[in-house]
Amino acid sequence: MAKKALEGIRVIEHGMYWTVPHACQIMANMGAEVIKVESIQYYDPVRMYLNPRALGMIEGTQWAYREQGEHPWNRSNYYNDGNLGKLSLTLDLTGPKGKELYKKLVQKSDVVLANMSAGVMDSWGLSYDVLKEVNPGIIMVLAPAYGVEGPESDYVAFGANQWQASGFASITGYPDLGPMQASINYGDPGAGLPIVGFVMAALLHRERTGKGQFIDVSQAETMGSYIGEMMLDYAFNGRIAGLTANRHPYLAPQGVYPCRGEEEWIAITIGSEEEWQAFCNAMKNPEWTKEERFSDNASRMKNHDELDRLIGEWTGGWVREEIMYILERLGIAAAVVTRLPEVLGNPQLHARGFHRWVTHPETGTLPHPNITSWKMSKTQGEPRGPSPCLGEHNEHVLCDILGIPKEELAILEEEKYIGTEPLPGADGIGPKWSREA
Amino acid sequence: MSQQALAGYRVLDLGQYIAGPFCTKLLAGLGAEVIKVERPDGDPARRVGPFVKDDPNPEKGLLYLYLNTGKKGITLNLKSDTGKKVFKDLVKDADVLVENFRPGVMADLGLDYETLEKINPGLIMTSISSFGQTGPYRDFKASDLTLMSMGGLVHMCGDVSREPITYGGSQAQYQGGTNAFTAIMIALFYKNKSGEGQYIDISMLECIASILEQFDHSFWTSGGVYERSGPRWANISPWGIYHCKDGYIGLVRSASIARWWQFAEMMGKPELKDFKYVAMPSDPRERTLLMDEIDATMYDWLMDHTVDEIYREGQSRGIPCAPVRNIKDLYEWCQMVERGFFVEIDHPVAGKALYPGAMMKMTGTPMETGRAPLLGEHNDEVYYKRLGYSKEDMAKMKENGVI
Repeated sequence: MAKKALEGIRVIEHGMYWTVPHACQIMANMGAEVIKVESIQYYDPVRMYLNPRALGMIEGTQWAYREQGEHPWNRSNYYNDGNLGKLSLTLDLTGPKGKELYKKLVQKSDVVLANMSAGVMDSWGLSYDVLKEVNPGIIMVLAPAYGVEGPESDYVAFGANQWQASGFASITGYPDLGPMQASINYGDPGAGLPIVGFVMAALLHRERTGKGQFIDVSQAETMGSYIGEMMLDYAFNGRIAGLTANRHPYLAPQGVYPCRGEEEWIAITIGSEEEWQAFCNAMKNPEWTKEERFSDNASRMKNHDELDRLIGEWTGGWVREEIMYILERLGIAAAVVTRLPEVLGNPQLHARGFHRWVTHPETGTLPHPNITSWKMSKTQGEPRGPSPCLGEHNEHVLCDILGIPKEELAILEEEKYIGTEPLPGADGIGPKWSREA
Repeated sequence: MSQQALAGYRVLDLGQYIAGPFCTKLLAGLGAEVIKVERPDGDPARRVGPFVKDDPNPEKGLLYLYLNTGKKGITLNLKSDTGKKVFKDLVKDADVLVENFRPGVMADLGLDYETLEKINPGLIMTSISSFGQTGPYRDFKASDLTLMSMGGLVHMCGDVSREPITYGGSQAQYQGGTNAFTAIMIALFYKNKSGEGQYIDISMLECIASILEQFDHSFWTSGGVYERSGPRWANISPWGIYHCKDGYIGLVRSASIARWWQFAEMMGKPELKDFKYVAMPSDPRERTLLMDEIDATMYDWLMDHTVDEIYREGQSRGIPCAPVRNIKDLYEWCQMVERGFFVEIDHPVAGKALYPGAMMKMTGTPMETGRAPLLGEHNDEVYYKRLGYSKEDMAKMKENGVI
């Protein structure tokens, strides 16, 4: 039985969409107790979010089996994919009782993470300065769009905007068609993942000194860290990286080529002269492979467009998997370009137990990628349970952890501090229920 | 002056190219002492371009300079018996070892976890490889492109009329390094309370495939459509990258009615506030008509305005929008500059430049960015001063190609 690396660590999450929920799901997988704080006035928007890119506007596809059910906010695919093994607490932090209970929770917690707009926690009177009075050991992570400090810290950005703002769009695309938008908000998990590493650093520091600290995350800076060599090429040489589609910076050929069938592709990289020779043999040495313009890596780099066309003619006659296995047997990097639903059937992922089946009370049993798939010999991480229903753990958190008497739950519910059904406007679209009203 | 978070921790970096070195670069930034162990002719990343001023000097490779900041550098031939012995000496007081050779190489060298664990039970040994240390594809050759492709990110990226494309840079390798970093930090936290080390096996394919987390269920249970979206998404407007007067601007439509109204007002087209424009119709034909109408209005307005005008005006109205920045724009972006993301690093051979600095800003124990080591720069310090080898021993090791 694997041990849990983060057993005993309590995490408060104010996550929405993906970045911070991703970080917290990793910590939950590793054994932390993650309490996701939402409210019936305002929950994580993905509970009712129509993810437009993913869904092709097919009616109802944001919900499992396209069924809205009685509690659609508990059936969201997006939410239920990204919040495994967490506890859900609904608590309205705009009212005095909510703040008071929240501070009690902070006293008993180790880490607070949020990725709402900069200033939201402040507006609730729950800034780091306030929380550290309550608990000097608390570690707080804020990850608004572009960080907490700086002239544009109050700017808004969706995931798609992060891709544009951070330089990635300018280096992803075809030279003739311009920059492309990624279909996935890469920057979200790209920042969510290392946040966990930085929280561990802060925890180690706290173990030694008793002191907590504040961590200010800008997704653009995290993204910038993933293209450092291009940044330095500008800093040293004034060169601005551009659009190169699938080209390798210094090896040729490399590309994604069509195979038999519709939307079937193979990715190939030729890494050396020996591999090129082996590749030519695999293609049965057509005449063009002997031409001067493809005779060495430099010439192949120069005549890459023509080379791509000729390779594509060869690959077009084959099934993707055939080429992959033929070339891999010769020691050449080749991979099928996996379509999303095919990931579940990938033999390598399957052999290593990448997907884990998790049962959710309202949507049943479904496979999830293990986002902590790293094989750790002592502390293997894996999903601990399903994503929580809204307010599912109110009683556990308030009574068992904070020790408030059970009778008070009814009062809190009456006063709309807690609950399991959202109030009008909680999806952030229509007019909101307000405590003052 | 507060101590850095990983002060006192020792890391051995056998990494080459990107994944391993990026992981240990982050550990060095947090204050660990990272000893980069290179083969006598150096990490092959030293010999790939681009180089400083295109001079192919192994001390001037930009990939190497970026990925090895803050480390100490020694050379050691692990294939020699002396090399193995010296390496085992180094392992004795190391907390972390990172390697990204092909699976099986460490075992062939007689330096697998089973062996090293006996020397140092507290060691956290991490192997990063393309597909992991087990499974049918374990020994497959891979490139960044093939990993991104098999992992599922490539098929969804690019234009529908063309071949799918990968993301800019070497993201499979960077993600491999970042996953390793996070796993190691978790293992260090665990070691801190239990005293136990462990072995960590990272598969870059899994690092990429796990990014699909958010998308799985909408596909499996709801038949969501995932096709390449090109620069703009075909079923909603506005969404994506648009040409404007002097460049590209990113615009995203949010579900909020108030934001759509702001958008209509920003363009000076209050008629678009009408309810019929607020949500995209589900009937494809109606939708196309409506999108054409919105686009026609929008394109005229875009061509009359610059990236900066749209960005500032949009943000003042709370509309999610962003310039499509290139690398130069990042260096000039006030938000990055004023947050102090760029730090000047001086290197004895490469010279001075502004490097990307801390990935995240820890206020209590800030991340620091040093410079990359010269080849074998710290041989003396490590072999002579720390391990107690004599000058004669070292001369002999040099003669025999061990260091």
